Amino acid sequence: MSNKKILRFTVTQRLFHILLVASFMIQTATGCARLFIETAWGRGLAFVFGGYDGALIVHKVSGTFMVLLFLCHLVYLAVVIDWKRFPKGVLGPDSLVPNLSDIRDFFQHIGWFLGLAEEPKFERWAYYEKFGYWAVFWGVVMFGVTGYMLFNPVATARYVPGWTMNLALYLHREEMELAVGYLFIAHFFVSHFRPRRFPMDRVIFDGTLDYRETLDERPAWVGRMEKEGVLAQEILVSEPSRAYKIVSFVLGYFLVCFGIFLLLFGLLNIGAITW
Amino acid sequence: MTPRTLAVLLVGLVILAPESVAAQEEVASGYYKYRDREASTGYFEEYEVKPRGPSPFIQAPGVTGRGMRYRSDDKNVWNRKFLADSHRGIPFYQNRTCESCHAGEVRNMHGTRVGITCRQCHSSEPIASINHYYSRMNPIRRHAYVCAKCHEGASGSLATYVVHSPNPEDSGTAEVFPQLYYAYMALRLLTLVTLAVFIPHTLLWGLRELIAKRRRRREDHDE
Repeated sequence: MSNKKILRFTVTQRLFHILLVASFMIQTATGCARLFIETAWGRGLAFVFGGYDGALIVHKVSGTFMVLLFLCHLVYLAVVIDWKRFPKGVLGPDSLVPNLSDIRDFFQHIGWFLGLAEEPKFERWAYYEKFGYWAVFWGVVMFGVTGYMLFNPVATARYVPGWTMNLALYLHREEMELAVGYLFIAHFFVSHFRPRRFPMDRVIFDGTLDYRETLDERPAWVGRMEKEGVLAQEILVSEPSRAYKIVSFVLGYFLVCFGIFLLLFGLLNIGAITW
Repeated sequence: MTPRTLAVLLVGLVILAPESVAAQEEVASGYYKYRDREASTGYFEEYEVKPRGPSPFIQAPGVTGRGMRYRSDDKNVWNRKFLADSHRGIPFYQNRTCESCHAGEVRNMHGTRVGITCRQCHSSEPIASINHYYSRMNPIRRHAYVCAKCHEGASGSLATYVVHSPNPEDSGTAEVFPQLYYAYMALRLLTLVTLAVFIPHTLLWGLRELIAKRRRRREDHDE
């Protein structure tokens, strides 16, 4: 069993994630290019996308792609939800819907950090993963609403007062700070740089987790699957090929390094923002 | 000149002279009537009406009624928001630049990003106050005379966009643009709370796992 892997993400789920990552990275890069256009770094970024105006076009296209991806995900959710067991099914341990045990796990986890409690026995989805998942819903709605308000100001002003675009502009920027701050610091570190995951957690690329590591980190999930008898039949899969591992490692590190590059230079140039 | 010759000339004039057009007369009279303000405010027709009150549905922040707002502490001060020449009486005005008095206003996206100069919107001298009755910046015509130069089809609603937007992080913004201040501060608070929870959470987690890993390695080594 030690060579076997536990299937955590399906191909569709991994595809959603990689497309979301790609569109978010492009939007962050083009957004930084415009926000920091007064700096040499911002101009360099903008040059890649065809200048200040070109960056805006790419930003709008990738933003629209992200919104469409989000709508596709809603359709996907509507398809995969077991409506016969609704709402019990979406409140179960395989669901990403938060419940009271997440609050308990959070405080127990903090207690473990401080040496005051046992490490929580996580189920399939831990509280921080649920937070990350639902944060995307908030982020896409915020980026989408404010972004489309600014997409065509003349058309927007037909429906809402023009001064609401002052709000949209600043909220779009502040939401970027929230998303970039959370993803490029907390999400990157938890997923790839903490000692258990270092040098990289490839699960989102190849979809599989090591059995022993999962038993160590998510004993409640593994125990439940063994009890239900689904582990050996459906969940355990063969290890991905070496080529696939290398590709996912290179791609993953490219994205992580690019994100850190944007965060670092953004922080270094934050004083040069003129609005 | 005999009466007959005069009659022929008059008939000829009636037949050959172009028909009088009302608009031409209005343009001419309007031009002379507002010539002293033309350079500043552009051309305005005679049939213009006084500005109405703002729409109950679409309003500019901080502007009430007809935009006339006097505070008790500055009631004796010349309110420059309603002058035909907003800089009238300012000493050494000819030697100043816009930025020397309006440094904060110069830092706006229209200026810094698109390169629009002050005079492209506010016109050349004499620069009328934005709320002066005949100013191109007056909210009743700003969208058509200023915004629409770049934003084709701009409406009065679009013209309520605050080009010289205050910094939402300044406490004074709560008075002049409360919607911007409170919306921004709410999201800023969410950002700070999220990062204040998750950054220490992440660091503590990394540290704890590092300690656990070293302890496990030491135990394996002892065995």
